[in-house]
Amino acid sequence: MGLTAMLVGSISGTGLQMMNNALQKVPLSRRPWLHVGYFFLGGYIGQRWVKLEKELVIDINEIRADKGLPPMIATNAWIKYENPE
Amino acid sequence: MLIFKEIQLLPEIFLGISIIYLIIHGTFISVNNKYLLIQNSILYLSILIIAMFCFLLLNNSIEYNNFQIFNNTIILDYLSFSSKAWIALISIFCFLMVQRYLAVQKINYFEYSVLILFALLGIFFICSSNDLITAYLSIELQSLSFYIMAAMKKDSAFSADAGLKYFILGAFSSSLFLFGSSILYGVSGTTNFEDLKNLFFLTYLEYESIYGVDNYSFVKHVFIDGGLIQFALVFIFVSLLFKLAVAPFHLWSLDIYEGSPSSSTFFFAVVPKLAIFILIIRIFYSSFFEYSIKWRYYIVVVAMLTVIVGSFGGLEQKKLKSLLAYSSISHMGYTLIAFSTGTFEGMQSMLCYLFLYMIAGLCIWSIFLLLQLKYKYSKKQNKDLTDLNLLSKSNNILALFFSTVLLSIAGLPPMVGFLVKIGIFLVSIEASMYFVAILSILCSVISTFYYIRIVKIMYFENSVAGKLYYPIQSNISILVVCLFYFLLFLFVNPTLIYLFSYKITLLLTMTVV
Amino acid sequence: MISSIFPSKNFFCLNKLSVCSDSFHLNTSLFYNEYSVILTFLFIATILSVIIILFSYILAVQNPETEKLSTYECGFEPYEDARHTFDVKFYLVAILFIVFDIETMFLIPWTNVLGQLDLVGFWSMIDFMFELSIGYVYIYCIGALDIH
Repeated sequence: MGLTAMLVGSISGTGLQMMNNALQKVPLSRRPWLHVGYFFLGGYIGQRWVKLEKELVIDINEIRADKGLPPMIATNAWIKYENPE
Repeated sequence: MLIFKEIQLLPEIFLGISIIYLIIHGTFISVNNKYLLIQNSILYLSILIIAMFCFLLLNNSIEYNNFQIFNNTIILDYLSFSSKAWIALISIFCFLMVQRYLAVQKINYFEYSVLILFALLGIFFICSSNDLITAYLSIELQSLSFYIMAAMKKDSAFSADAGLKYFILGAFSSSLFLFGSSILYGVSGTTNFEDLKNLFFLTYLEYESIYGVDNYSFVKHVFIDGGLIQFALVFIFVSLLFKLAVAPFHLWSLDIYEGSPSSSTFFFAVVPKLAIFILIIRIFYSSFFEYSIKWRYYIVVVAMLTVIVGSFGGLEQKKLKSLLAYSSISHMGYTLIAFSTGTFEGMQSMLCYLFLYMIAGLCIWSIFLLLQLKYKYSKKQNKDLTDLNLLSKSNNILALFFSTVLLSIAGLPPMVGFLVKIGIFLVSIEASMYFVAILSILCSVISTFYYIRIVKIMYFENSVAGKLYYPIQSNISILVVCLFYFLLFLFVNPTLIYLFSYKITLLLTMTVV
Repeated sequence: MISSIFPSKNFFCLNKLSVCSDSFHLNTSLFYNEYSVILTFLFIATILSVIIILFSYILAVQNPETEKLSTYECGFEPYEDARHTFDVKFYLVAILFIVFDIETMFLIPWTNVLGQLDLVGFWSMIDFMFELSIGYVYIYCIGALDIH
């Protein structure tokens, strides 16, 4: 489901807004609504990231099958190879 | 229902119509007696236009077919789609970043944004050109807009100087392109990349060989001069390498990057390189693939020369812009090394390197644009290296960002630049180009010096007080923070870039893994 | 050779353009067909020029003065030091002339084949001219054509 990815994205979103505030040399919790906003935006981006990776692997395997090549096994430990069958 | 093939070009048509509208809109507002400053509004309108272009582009649900429209002069395949989407996203970023700089430098002409849109239109047509004439026209459209953008600062002779130099060199290189294409047309009778691919892709042509055409029953033997084709290809290659500013055609880029206003340099350094490389892929990897056995060696020599010039040239630079110009020259050298292998992994790592080059270029030029000196004499335009004195005391986080981007460009872990650079060295070793790999690794080490020198100036300089900068007030600094985050995050999880470039390279026509 | 002006009745000459060795068919010769137009143009041009110059010499009131008789050099002094700054408006006029001349150059073959083009061909040229007129509106409003 990508729960880890969503969590990582959310926390990094909030962290990025805090770093943005630090860059502009204002107190870290200035504009707290942006913290919440980037929390959700980061979560959404994290989820889309993982979904996009899965879609790309499926597309690549389809193209490789069209060319007559064996499918590319995703050796990344974070993406388990899901057999489409 | 819109079911004809030409509707695939709707994003570019939309961009063209909106450029025409913007010209009229800007003209009728800015020639009043009560002169309104519309620079900001036109800028935001341009961002909206490019965002809508992205929307129209990403909604083309037909991506995997090769549509050749307008009498086979424009091709719309996955390579053109992905490169156009990428360039459009990057240019939205660029637009957001230059807004504050233009206000500070008092470049109040609304034509600036319109020119950037024209250049983008030319770049989008380069990415999807299937004909030598279309490619030439799009290169000219893009280059003309860039010539004017380089000379946009009217009160600075430096800027006019840069524009004039760019114009002369750009026109010269375009004429070389035309000369090569005219010879190609004379030899083969066609300017279409698809037709040239059907003629020349898998045939091994020596000088004055006999070539039989089977499709037409009344033509049995046609003499095609392979040597003349190589002659023409040299001219086309030199012209495109001129545009990319590789050695020994790199001398114009230093003066132009130095003299143009920094927002224009931002565009020159980041955006057109991918488009020219897409054109190089289409001509030399898809159409004339078999000739790669002949020109490989020249490209390797050019790439090595570029890497050496980029590494050794940046050692002496005391101005920040010239330093970044030399670093982009050496990046083009590494990309050419990956391209010259001609293998599948070579193309893939070349595309990876180009994507990461654009991200790192965005980051470093945005930081450059965000820095604004508080006390400087009025004629000073560009930053020297000493202007970064003790930036860590002035703005700690910004110094951290700057050093991270610099170390990523240098190719040090734990930033993603390390991974893409290792990719380039791996493909060159795999193609048995050992000397090239050793030389480029050594030159990469040498170029690390001038990146680390900037880090030293920012953090460890022995002077009493550093230069003072205005605090960063723009709301878009979050984008710089995001880029910094991506540079670190992509080291941990580079799968997306790898898969994306893999998919593009798979869908390049006639590649065999 | 007087009979060469009138066409002779040669019923054995099947091809009108064939060479008949005894008479020169004026109305059907290749030379006449191709070059008579040029002769007409030459006459009209000469006569028109002569008429214009003649009437302007006869009918004009002439009060010669030094200022009026001096050579015209587009607004600046003709016999001057060669080192004054180049006026950029001449360059602008030259560039704009090139652009609109090329537009005219594209218009002319289009008008020849317009009968064979379908609707797309018509509207393509209209679109081209529209874009160039947008450019003209821009130039006019921005003041590039002002001579002050």
